[in-house]
Amino acid sequence: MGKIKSVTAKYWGQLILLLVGFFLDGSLKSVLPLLNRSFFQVSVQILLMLLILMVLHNSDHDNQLFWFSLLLGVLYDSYYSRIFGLYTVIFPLTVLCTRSVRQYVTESVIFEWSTYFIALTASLIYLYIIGSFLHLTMVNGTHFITDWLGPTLLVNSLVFIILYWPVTKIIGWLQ
Amino acid sequence: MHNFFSNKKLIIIMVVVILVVSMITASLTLGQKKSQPALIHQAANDGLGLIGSVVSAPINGVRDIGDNVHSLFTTYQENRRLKANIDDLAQTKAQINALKKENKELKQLVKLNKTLTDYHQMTASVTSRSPNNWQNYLIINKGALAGVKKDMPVMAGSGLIGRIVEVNQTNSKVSLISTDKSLSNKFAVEVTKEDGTNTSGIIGRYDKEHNLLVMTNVAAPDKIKAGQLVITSGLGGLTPRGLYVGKVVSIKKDDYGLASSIFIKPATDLNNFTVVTVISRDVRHG
Repeated sequence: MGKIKSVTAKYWGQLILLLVGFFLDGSLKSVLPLLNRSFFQVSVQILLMLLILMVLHNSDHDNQLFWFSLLLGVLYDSYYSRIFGLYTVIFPLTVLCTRSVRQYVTESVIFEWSTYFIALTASLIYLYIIGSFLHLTMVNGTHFITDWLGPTLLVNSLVFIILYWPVTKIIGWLQ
Repeated sequence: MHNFFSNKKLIIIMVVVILVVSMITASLTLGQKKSQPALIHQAANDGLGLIGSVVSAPINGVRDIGDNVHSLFTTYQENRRLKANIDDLAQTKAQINALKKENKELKQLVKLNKTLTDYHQMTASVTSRSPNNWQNYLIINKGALAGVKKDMPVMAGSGLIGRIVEVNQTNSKVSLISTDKSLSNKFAVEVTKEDGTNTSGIIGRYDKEHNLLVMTNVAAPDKIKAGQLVITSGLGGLTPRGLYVGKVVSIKKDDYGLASSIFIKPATDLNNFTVVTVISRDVRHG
């Protein structure tokens, strides 16, 4: 399948792909009870993965991904949590940071996975710090790492590796 | 690189930090006070809910198929277990119907309109859960148009699972009781003891390690034993009386020995349900 020529169609395609990731995050967490055990709490972050892969494979250097990530961050906070300022910050910041390291990351699964790993860790730590400051969670540091951070990184890394090839193909069509 | 923290960048970073902190504070404080979020917020959530149903429908379909396949394997044992309970159930049902009729006639006799035990039910299905780990929110597919209001209790299976915290036109958010420190109102419960008396209290927190609800600051825990039933007391003003919460597991004295904490096992498994019931209390408080 050849590349899509029209710019509007390209933008709509990217937005639709990101929206699918947006809703998968919530649906998977509700459908799979395995992700909700008290000692194995996984936060599915497929949207973050899609944003990082889109930035790393973006040959056009357009600014639209930043605005998409800001918009989706606001919608994410509005739909899934009642607190604006969580994902509203995480998604645009990830896009900006990934854009600045794009030249150092070669196009292979391992390097892109490590970018995702670092971004995911940073976002989970940010969420944990906000939660602790607001006294909305009583989990201490050790439990955070063993019950939240570890399982989240594990499951999301597996999902990344499984979805890498199909997603990069789709992103290639949308360039 | 030595100009990295030039004035312009520093100012931008400071402005962003101040904006983020004020966003978080504003959404927390304003969200608590209002019964429904702002119109634009509601419109965004409703739109997302509609689009989300497109994505979650196939996923829920796959989950249903998985559940059906799993049921096929466990059908034989479940059948035997259920047959053993059927005779009991028929008898209990007959008794309950008789008691309900008597209760209704007695209420009419004393001209009592509605009491704390009267309520209506609305069923809804769970479309998504919050991906964030310290926010245990469910998103259900009924909203203000169906009559859902903030602070209504929500049940699944046979037990209480949480409270409605945000209501949009076509969907709502439920805060589960397993949230560590919930921003929503706490549940007023009572333990039904063997001699017929009750000990009232509130569910103070959730013990994540053992998955138990904790009724804190109980002054006189005499005669409370493991296995006793815990129901909502209706005294809080938001929840009707008589909703099943769970069973007492253990009692522990607090650090100073003055009060005790009662540990309660919730009636429902908080991880595995698809359909919930929203309870609308008939007696309005205030």
